[in-house]
Amino acid sequence: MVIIDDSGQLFTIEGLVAGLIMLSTAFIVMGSINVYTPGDAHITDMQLKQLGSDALLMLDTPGSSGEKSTLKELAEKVSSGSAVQADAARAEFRTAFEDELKKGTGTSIVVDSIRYNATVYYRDIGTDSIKSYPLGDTGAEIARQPAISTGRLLLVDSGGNRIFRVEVRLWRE
Amino acid sequence: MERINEEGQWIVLMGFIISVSLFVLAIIINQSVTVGQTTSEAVLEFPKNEIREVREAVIDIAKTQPASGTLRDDLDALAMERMNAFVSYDIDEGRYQDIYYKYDEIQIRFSNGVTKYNETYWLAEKI
Amino acid sequence: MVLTMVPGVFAGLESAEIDYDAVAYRTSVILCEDPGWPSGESSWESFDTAHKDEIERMGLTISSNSPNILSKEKVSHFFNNSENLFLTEDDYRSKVIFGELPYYYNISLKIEDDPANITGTVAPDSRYGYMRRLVKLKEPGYAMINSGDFNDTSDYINAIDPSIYSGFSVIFDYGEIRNKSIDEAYRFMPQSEPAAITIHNFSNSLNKSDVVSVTLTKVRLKKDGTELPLAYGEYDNETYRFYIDDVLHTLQGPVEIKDADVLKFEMYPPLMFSDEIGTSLSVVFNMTYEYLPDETIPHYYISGDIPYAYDRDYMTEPSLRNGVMEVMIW
Repeated sequence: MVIIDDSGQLFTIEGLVAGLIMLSTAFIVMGSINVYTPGDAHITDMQLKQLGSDALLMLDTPGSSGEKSTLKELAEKVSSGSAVQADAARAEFRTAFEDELKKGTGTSIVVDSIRYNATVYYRDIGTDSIKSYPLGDTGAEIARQPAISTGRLLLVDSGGNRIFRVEVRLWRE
Repeated sequence: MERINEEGQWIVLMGFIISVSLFVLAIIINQSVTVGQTTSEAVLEFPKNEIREVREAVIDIAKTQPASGTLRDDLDALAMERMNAFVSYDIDEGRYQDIYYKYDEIQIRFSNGVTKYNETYWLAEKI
Repeated sequence: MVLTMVPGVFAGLESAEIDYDAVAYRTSVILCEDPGWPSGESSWESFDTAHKDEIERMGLTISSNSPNILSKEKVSHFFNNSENLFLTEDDYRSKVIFGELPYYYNISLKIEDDPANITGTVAPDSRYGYMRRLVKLKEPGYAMINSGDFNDTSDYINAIDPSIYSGFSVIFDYGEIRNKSIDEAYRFMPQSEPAAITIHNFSNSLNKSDVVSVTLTKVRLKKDGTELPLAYGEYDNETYRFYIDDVLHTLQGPVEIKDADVLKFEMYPPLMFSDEIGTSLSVVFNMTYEYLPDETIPHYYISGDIPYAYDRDYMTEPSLRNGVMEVMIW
């Protein structure tokens, strides 16, 4: 026969609630150890920007004195007015630049996920405005991910001494 | 006189301490959110490569055609338009001379609104 | 506020992971864009293990004006490839990585197709700070002298003493070598780079039918024409090494070199008196040629005063090789 007696109710409920409190405390404590810091996004941007700058610097440093750097030669060819030369220069830039981005020492796996879009900017004397020549890209003209941009100023010989700026926009696919 | 009930003081005190420390912990966690951001933002914001490329471009100008107005306008326009920076330079040729070299004095000024950079560089040419 | 430090006792907050990328970036900048401290006249790579506490920072570039261009001497000392300087993990932490926490590190440098130089421990698969930099390594220049180009001097002998005494000198005119108008990446830097003189093709350029013997009587070093009082009879392997056909010799002869093919003289930085621009240092190879006693014909010997300078056929000027450096911190 079941005895109906409600004198132990509060006691039981107290015990249940105490148990629940201990469990939820444990969960909350474990969950709050991992603190999310959104600063990480900037760090990958910084790594990409430094890599792009380094790659342009490497292309602008000739192997021995007296040589003209690869980047200067390509910038001159792209601005030469001859479409054949410009296309050849673009292909050469793509090979050279992608070569630089893929280098690794072997201690880590270099993932080939960097996409870029390179342009040569110059000042047009007639209109006194900044115009550009495209210098090569990985196919997609518009970046779908947030992109960073670096550049390098060059003194080139294109109808006299001129200053050009080669800019590269980089993003990770 | 009635005796004041002094029981439960310990529990109340502990409760008080715990709520204060929870409050402080919440502040700390709130502030930790911005920790990584400022370090890498500071790096991105400082125009290290821009200053280097401007400097090397001006030194190249001094080596080839220091007096050229075209180059000066080129650099001015490109820097303003593409780097959002004001760049100007002055080249004083043959300012100083010793028995081995002739020196040009190059003054470089760069400012992108946040960072200003001024330099006096002596370019040596062997006599 | 002190109150904010109290919960640290209970919770033990340590957010070191955010730091790793920043520390890797900073380490890569110190290595690739900074020449280290002390640099210049007595640069950190010339210190030995006994004095390594005087090194404040180890950077690998050739100078502060040439970012991303690394010095071969500094690279070999940094990766513990030199006999004089031995670096421990603590040295790397306090002179390159800095920071309060003892980070694990893995720094690697690969130049073109050479095997990679690696220091540190193997990195875990994930959760490490990482930075990759592109660099160029400066290969120092050297002189490669073909004796065949310098053997057209001749003289007559007399039968009583059928010998000709000749000197062959290589002159380091520091004023010319340390030419400030040449970019540092392509300039000879005798204060921090080794100099090497290789005289090759020696025996083949002699007129064998005529020459009885060739003796290298002595090698001397002269400053502005005055001979330096060094202990020529002893080895001084830290300053210079002299090889005849890959065998180490002292500078005091005499050595029979009629059949020798290669004479190699290497000098290690900092070269003597290289800090004085007005001086010149000469390395003089004194040789005695003994001929068949024929007084009627002219006898040829190898001689010359060869400047170690730019723009010469026998000189290979400094050049750059591509490389990549990776820094991992955890």
